[in-house]
Amino acid sequence: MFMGDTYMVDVHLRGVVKRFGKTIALRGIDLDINDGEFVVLLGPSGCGKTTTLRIIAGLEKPTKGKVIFGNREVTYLPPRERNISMVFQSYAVWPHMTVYDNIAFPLKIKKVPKEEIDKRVKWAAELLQISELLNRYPHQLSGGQRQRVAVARAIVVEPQVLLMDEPLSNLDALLRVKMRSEIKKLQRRIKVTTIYVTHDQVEAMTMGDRIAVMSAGKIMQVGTPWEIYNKPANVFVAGFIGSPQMNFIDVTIEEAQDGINLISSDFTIKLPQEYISLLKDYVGKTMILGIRPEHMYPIGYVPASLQKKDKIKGIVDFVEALGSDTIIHLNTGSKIIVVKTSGTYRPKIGEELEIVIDLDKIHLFDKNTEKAII
Amino acid sequence: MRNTFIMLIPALLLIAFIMIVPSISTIYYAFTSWNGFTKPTFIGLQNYREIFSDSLFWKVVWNNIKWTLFFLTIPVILALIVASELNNVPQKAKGVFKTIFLIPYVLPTLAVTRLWQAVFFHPLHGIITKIFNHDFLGTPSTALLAIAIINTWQWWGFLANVFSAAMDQIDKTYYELAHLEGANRWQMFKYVTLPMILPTFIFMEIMTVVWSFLVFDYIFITTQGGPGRASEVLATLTYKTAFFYLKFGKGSALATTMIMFASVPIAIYLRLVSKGGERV
Repeated sequence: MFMGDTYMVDVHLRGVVKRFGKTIALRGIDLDINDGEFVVLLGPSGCGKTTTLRIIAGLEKPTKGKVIFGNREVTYLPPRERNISMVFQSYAVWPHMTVYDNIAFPLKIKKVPKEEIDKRVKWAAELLQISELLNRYPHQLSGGQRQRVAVARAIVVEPQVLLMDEPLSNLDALLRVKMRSEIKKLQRRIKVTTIYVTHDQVEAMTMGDRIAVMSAGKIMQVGTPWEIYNKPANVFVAGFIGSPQMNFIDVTIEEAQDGINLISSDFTIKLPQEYISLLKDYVGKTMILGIRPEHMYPIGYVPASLQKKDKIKGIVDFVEALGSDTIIHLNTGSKIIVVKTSGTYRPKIGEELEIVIDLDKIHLFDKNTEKAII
Repeated sequence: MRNTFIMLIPALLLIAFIMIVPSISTIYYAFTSWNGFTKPTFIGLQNYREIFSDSLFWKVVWNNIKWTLFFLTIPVILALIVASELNNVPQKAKGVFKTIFLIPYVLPTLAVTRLWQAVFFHPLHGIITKIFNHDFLGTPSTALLAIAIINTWQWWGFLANVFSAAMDQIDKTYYELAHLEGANRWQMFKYVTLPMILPTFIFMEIMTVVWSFLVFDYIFITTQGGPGRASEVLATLTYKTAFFYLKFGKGSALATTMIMFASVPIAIYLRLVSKGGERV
């Protein structure tokens, strides 16, 4: 048990399909989660992330496919036989029971001896720093405290898999940041395999060991936060991760003498020779160029370490001064390109700017499949 | 402030006229000997002395208590079971069932009671009479039970609708959490449903006590308190005392005892509400 030891399991989804009447919620989910890993299911509303979690929990049965814990198939097992716990968005802490009774309830149902219940409740309460709240009722607690009670209630049974369905979305921004790190630290401490659903990319990036980005019932990419950000597998992932969103520009690929030209309606970017082999199949075709706003720099703010670079020009259309950062909306003719730069830089609207692009950080996607080529 | 009070005057006058005046009059007549025609004579507590020393009064109170205990349990349990089961029925079918269950409640009591009397409890041809070979309404030991069954038939569907509406308000994630934690259906009912509908449940139970001490129509239509005095309750006794025996003073005194019996659960309810208010 975790009161010191570890107790975990790996989770595998194999071709999971879920239909609700005519609506297809999941279109074949394959996912492997290692034991003790913190995996975040990330995606917009309606992408199927909560349905996936509920299928893992046993609250929904898949139309097709398998759910495997360790080497045991649990697809059609009721939740109580899966040794899982779940924290809901609404916390679901019972208002008519004290904090102590709430945390003790799952143990009571399992007929754990009273002394053992007491020991475990106190252990969970201490871990979540709510020991002094045990005699209170939920209505006497703040949102953050209720959240802690819900987590304590979930871990007290020492689940093999801990499932969390947007557990922080009802908290205010400051508390969310605090709880983010606390949940992550707690998971590291008790090493329980955790599957966490959120639509908040910051939560996903800061908490997940790996992130599964979902859209329209499919997993678009699974990877570490670094991979998801730096090597997005497709246009959807590239656009979903990062704020402000990545700039997408249609460009035609043209082979030049000493490299490759990316020709858009407003500007041309020149890539060095080494890209020729990567893009030879696309010469003459249209691709989608992706550049993150933070990978473009106004003159004077270009890092000295930047090696491969090119410039584009535009007129400042709009400026968002956020204090730490300045977001510049640059009109390049027919497109608005968003650039994120230092908060100390404040260009004037209407001013002409030259922007340096870090060519090491650009992305090129196939126009038809939207898959990343570079 | 003064204008606000002026605005309240019509409503206050109306309440005074339809509630306070008759109530005070009843309390006043309870201390008099009055046949309804001549001038009432003040006799102090004489009516109460007579009532409390009459074994019939205590028999009648006991009938009310039996009636109350029946309605606190049988229809409530029936309604709770049905309302809980409605939770597992698809939404459209649930609406159909709820409507069907509500139909008896919207029928006139007179029609329902007469129908049951004729179809089920007729001393010769009643279906229940034939099945059990027993005239329930005509036998002193079963008359009250038979009337309670008629009342239950009309009442439980309404109760099930009220409980079902209360259950609809319960956040479904409470059940999902209990399900995940391994609770069975009974445990879910005990630990989620019942505590969550407790305010509604208590209100309906308290009102059941109040209504049980005021019950009149079902009994008066079916047996008028008979056979003998077997199904006599406070309201029928009060009515008969006042309008059959023309003892309006004593009838008023009986009416005030009914008010006292009905006030106890109301006081308990108000106390619970004020206590509950601190927790919600």
